[in-house]
Amino acid sequence: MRGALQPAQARLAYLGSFVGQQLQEAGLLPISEPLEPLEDVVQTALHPVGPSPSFRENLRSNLLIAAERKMTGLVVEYPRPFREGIVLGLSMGLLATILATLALVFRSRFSQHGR
Amino acid sequence: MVEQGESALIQAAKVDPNAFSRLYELYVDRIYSYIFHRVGNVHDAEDLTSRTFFRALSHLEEYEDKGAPFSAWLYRIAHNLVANWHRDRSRRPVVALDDLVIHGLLEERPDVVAESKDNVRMLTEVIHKLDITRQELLVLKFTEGLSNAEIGSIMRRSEGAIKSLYHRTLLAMRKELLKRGLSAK
Repeated sequence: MRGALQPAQARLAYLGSFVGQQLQEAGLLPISEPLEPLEDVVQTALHPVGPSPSFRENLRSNLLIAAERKMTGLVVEYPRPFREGIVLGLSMGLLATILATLALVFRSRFSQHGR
Repeated sequence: MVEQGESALIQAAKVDPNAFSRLYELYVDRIYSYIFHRVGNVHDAEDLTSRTFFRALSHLEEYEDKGAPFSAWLYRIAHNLVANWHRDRSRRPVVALDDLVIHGLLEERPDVVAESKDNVRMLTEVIHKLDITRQELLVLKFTEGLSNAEIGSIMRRSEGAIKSLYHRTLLAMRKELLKRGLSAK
């Protein structure tokens, strides 16, 4: 009789621990083990990081210039990064080439019709 | 609540470039650290830090002291820029932890560096597996040392919701660490 009950007891215990864990994860049950040790580990890993002194100083002087311009009524805009400038330039160049090609094609067709 | 001195500095910064420069000095390290941990590389961290302060400068008149710290306003700008960055690139943030922790350990305990390196790498992977919201919560909590209320004002959630999310994040991390055979004890 006792032997027959053992698997059922084991299943119930497993089910109980599973439900308990799910409820803990949902924050509905208080956790049995403290989380402080884990917090300490994460704290060790997530260090504050500082910017390089040159970046810090460059940005400070750029902001100072921008702030002075803003006081005189000019609009403050973040300078477009070099990489974005290249992409924008190439896109504009490509668009201009396509438009010029189309214009030439249409012009030659119209001139042929004219003759 | 914004402190009296800081409140005066913010008012001064609306008309005085040097006052804005002092505000910048007060917050640049914290904002950079937050952005760096969320994007995982120096180049984008510098770019987004610059954008944050340029945006703060151009919208400073719109800032009103409503009880939240000025830093929460700055973090909110940074949060939006980082969110756009992730959306544009559809990237998962990479938290560059290894070098930071190992550098500190080398000075104190060179014998434990190898083991710690593995543990930190595993912890990094576990953090990467979390969704972006949970990663942001951990960065604000641990690198910036903000309270649940401050984090809530940045992430636009209630203090209770942040507390609950934090709890669930730690439980999920512990479960994942245990699965990988690493105990946090």
